[in-house]
Amino acid sequence: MKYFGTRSLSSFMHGLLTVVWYLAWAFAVLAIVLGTVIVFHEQFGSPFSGGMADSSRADIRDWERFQSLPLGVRILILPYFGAVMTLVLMVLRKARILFSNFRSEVVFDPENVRVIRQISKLVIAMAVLTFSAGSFLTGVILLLICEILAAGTVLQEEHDLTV
Amino acid sequence: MSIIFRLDRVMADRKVPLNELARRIGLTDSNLSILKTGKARALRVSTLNALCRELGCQPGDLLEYVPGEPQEDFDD
Repeated sequence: MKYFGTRSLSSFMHGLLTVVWYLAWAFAVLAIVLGTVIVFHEQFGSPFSGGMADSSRADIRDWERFQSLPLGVRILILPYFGAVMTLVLMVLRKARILFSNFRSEVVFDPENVRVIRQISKLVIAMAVLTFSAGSFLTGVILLLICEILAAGTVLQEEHDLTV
Repeated sequence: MSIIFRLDRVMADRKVPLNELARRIGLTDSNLSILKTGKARALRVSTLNALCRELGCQPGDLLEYVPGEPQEDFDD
């Protein structure tokens, strides 16, 4: 399998991430609009009623508990969702830059080190926000891979400047 | 760095163009340009050998040590 250059895994991933990027934007806008209506419109009722979603008793109980909270507390869900979606979109944007560089066969490059370091920090921030141990581990592993790439970049530079 | 490449001076003395010398010693123009402009970090003995052979000179004609220049070697 070809990993870098045109018609490679990197090229495929860049195309896939471009599609996901636009889908994520559409989802974020739709979720903010629908979420605002559902959270703040008292007459909207439960999203689990009317057969719209496959729901369990626990889901319905959680929803009712959420609806019974004061408006000041319920409003906090919007900045929280906004923060998570912002982090997701930033990760997607950075990943697109990274795979674009890989597609152009630019691998051991200081820009890639910078981008992977930013992605790892964003993933760790997302892990803290969503209480996800898996994401936290992924972020830490990415941070270590970034340091390996940084060392590789130094070696590549040495190689390029050896005549 | 304290070591200065004097390739440009030797090439000018011998009136050898860069692309011609690069072709004769089997290097790319860009690699020879890195050497000529002093941006190279390291020089292979085989490259030095080829340069001396084609330019008819000694390694000392191509390299010069200038004392007092800032040190940047082996610091990491």
